[in-house]
Amino acid sequence: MKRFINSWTGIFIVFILLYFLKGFLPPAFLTEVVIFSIYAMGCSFLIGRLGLTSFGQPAFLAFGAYGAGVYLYYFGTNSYVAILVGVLASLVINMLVGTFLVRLNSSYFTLCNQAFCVVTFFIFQKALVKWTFGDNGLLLISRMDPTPVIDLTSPRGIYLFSFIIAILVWLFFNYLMKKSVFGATCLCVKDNEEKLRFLGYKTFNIKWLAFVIANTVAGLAGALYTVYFCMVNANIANVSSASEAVAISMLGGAGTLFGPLVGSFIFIGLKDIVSRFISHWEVLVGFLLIVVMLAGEKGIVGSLESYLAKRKAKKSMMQPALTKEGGL
Amino acid sequence: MGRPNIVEVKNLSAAYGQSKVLFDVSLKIKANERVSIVGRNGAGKTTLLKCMASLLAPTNGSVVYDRTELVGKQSYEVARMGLKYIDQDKHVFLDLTVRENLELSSYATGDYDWDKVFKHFPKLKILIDRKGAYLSGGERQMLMVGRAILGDPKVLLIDEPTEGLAPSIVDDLVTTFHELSKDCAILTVGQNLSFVSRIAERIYAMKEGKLVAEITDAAEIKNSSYSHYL
Repeated sequence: MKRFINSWTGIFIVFILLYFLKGFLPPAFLTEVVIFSIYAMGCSFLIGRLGLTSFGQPAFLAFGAYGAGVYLYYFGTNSYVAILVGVLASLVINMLVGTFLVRLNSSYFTLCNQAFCVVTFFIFQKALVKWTFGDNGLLLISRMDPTPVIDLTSPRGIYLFSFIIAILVWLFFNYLMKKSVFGATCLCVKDNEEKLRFLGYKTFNIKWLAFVIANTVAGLAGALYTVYFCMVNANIANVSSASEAVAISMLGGAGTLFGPLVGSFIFIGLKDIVSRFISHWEVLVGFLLIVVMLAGEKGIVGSLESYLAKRKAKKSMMQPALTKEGGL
Repeated sequence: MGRPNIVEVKNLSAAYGQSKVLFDVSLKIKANERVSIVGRNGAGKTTLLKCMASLLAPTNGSVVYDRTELVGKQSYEVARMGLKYIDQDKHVFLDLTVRENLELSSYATGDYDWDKVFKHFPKLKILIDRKGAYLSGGERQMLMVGRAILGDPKVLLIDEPTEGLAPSIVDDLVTTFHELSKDCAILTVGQNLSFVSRIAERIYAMKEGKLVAEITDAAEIKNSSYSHYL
């Protein structure tokens, strides 16, 4: 079962299940879930693998979103290029910002990320209002041409494209978390950074690279948002939504491959369904988060993986005893 | 002709904030030598090791390793140069298996020759897929030393290697340290005088942040008759 969850075939099966869910659930809902899961993946990686909680994720989402939005509004009409521009804009900003922020640890990192988010919101809402149109934002609906292969201007096209991107992101993080030395070093930074230095690793480089990867993935989600909603405004960087990515990561299981997807599914589901009946739907998310954390602090997928790992370890610890009994 | 000095500490002083803990400490370690520093709790043994491994910046003095000044260097640079520090807390990376722990060290040093690790610690081969969290204290110590010897270091600094270990494992460590010293110098610090007597060729006694004696006489080391210095 664990092998199934970890393997890349598991990712494809989840993809196929998700794709066919469109028969039962609205495609708009599923598209939002998938884009949100990409957004939360970076945050989940930072929390679960490096122990760095960031309340500045909306800022990194916004750089990708505005990169795509500004391109479509001022320079071109191709949505593929817009997404690429969004990712590159996000990458450059993250490389610069990361140089300063990853020097900080724990609460200082969290708060400075949040402060960066506030500054970013101000930049897009006020400082660059001449180009970003502040709260009104950039309306792009008439500025996007149909794209070849997958038409990103159609709901079906963006839905399919988001799934393909999500798969690529999952495969990338699967490699990063399970197969690469870099993924292992990230875990060690969380476990004991000083010990990793004893082995000869410059931990600043590891944290910087992880920060850039995680937040560029958030930027990718931002660019997809812009193309999906055909608009972007300053509220995307609003610090009031900073806890969303963290809540989704923790609900699903920070540092797990499928945690962000499960968390996004529950989060967007509650938002869509419960908000029809209660205006303060976040109360339910908060309550659910407390219950899940009290049950094991590892989130839904994290708890499941932990249970399976314990079972496997129990079996492997019994092996020497069995060998002795077997007379070998 | 005697063995050359691989580490030379001169007039080293260190402090935690306002409180001074090391006072003008000077010592030498020769290539392939087994040296121990003994002293009571709070004597400054661990602080000295941390200064040597660049984990703590000294307030004064120098640490020369293989003709290179280490003061001012980062701890990862010192490790890459071949001076490895093994902490006393038996902490391995808990979420990683033995294999992954070794891989991590191999990747940093470029040394993938695990046979030398398994030669000293054959048990690690059996435990290769077990996570660090499920290893005993002795197994963790083996893994920590195993990780450290990848990359062929010239000096191992080992803090309290026997703390919390069963006597049979301590016996194994004595043999292992003797074998390891064929390839590198070993500096241990600790309070287990019987262990020190069995491994050390030379002993420094430390008291209140100062080295108060250097014991080189084999008979004196064997009988632990230096304990009056502590």
